Amino acid sequence: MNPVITHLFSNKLKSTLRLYATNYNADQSLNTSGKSIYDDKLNHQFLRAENQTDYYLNDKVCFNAGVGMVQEGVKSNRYELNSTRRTNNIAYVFAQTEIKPIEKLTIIAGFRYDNNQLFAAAFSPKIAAMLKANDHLKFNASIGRGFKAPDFRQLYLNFTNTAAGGYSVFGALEAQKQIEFLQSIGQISSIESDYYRLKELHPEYATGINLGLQYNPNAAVQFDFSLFRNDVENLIDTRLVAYHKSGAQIFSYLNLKNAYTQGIETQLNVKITPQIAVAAGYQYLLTADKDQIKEIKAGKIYTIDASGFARLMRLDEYIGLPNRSKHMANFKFTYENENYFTNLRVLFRSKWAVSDKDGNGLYNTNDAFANAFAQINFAAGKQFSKQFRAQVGCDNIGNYVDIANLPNLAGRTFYTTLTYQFNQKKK
Amino acid sequence: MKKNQILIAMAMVVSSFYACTEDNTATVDTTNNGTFKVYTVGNITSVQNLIADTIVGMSAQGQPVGTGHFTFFSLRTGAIVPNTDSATNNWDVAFRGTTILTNAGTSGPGAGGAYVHVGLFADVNAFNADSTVRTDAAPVYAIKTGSNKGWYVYDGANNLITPIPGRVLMIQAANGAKYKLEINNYYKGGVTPLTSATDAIKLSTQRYYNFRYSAL
Repeated sequence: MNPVITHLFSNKLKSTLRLYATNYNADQSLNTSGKSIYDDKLNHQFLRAENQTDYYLNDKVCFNAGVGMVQEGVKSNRYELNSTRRTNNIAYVFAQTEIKPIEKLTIIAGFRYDNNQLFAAAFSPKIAAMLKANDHLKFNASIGRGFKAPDFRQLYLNFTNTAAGGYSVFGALEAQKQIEFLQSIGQISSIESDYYRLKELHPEYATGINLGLQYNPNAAVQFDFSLFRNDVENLIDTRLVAYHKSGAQIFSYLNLKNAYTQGIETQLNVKITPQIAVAAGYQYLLTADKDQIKEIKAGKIYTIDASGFARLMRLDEYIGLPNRSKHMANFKFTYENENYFTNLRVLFRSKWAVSDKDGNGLYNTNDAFANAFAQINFAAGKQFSKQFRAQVGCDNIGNYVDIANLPNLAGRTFYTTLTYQFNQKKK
Repeated sequence: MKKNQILIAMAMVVSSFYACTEDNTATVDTTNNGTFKVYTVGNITSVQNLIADTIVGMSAQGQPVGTGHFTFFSLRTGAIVPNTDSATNNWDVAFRGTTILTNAGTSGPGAGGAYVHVGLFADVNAFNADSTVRTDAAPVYAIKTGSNKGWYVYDGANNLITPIPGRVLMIQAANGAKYKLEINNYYKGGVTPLTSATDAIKLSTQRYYNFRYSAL
């Protein structure tokens, strides 16, 4: 349900009332022969009421402001009791002003204030500026602070996947209680150091700075370039906290303090002919946990030498956060005319850290990495008539597989699809 | 290939060491061929592949188990002490799986004990006055067991034990003599299996202690 009421008080003042309500029910049951039953029930209700008022002062200045409320409730057997409904209420206000001091410059400043029932209130300001140097070149800059509250899953989840080895994931508010209980009945084999770091989960706060330019010398070429830096406080991360007696892992969520990501992003789109287009993108990314950098600088972090004995670790050996590649690139070639199309896509990812091989608790050059890889996908198709369309393709032409680190990447896959569309009513 | 290069490099370090010291006669073979070996170069004694109750089967719960016996070792003589001497002052440290005992408290009649020092082996040359030498009080030991608590970290996802770099075991022998000890590997041949290795390999090659120690 999503009713909207708009009222124009004058041609300078407009007020909009939006209501949004959903109710989602899911029941999934998977019965594998000879194995445990996988059963999953979920009911999710979401209500939102929001009023936004826009005021156009003149050509150069406009304001908008609003208030809203969100009420959310979840019931699931993945949470402790399926009968208990977990709820959260959020009330918020926001305001924004858009100013055009000169024709070429637009400045947007605004804030949002969220009063979250489960967490402390959060204030999120943002300011952005866009300068249109000429018809071909635009610059933009923005700085803003945002937050991400832990979701229900991160707080209340109580899930044991009996169908996949019996690992468990507990929400941060459940983990200690559940693990203490399991320990009291002798079902815990060992407790990890991260267990002792479990506490009330706080929202993640991020301050982001973005500087960018967009250059389009003509209609066929567009080049985007941006520098970004995000400082995240209380980053929420999944951590291994204990082991079941069976050896299966127990995970929960922790605020991993003070990480940052920064880098460069570029994208080039060229339309060579009306039918042929090429797109290429590249991202350079650096990540780090600031607390770990402090510890390295303080000389408290060791790694191993060739014989396996300890030596001090240097800062230049530090990798940062796991599962992130320093270099990522993509390339896409498309040819398309009225009844035929083909495209070739190449995705590249440089190596990324996967496990702490030297045992020092952080990721550095002495650890285990997943190899860099490139994936090439090809597809071609033909439109035979208005209704009938055929497509053939091959994903992962190079047949790159890495089951341990990329379990979702299938080997070389050929496919054909035939689509027949029944006559549609003409509008 | 890489391993051989490392071993050659180690051998070179050792031979250059010999060039300027005269306290040993024959050249020591430092290669780690997977068998138990003890050798001393200068004031550092290295121990390779000290077998610490290797896995013999699976428990009813499917957990790998050994025979339950400790391997006793004398830091003073650099030799394994027979199990029949477990109630004597002849041994200083004992190993079973990831558990390490010192000769005192619930473990033995000696004046032993230990604490874990965070730092480099080369940099620590005395017991720290501020650190308490603890004695074993089973099931709590002077050298704490458990991942990330004492000398090792257990990677449950890959089922591997890794010594934490920068942990030096400060050990008081049964006679009260003081030693420092650093473990560099827990697997046969001094090489941790790859994370992708089979469980069978990970189970059959673990519980082989490789370490070095010096009297203080």
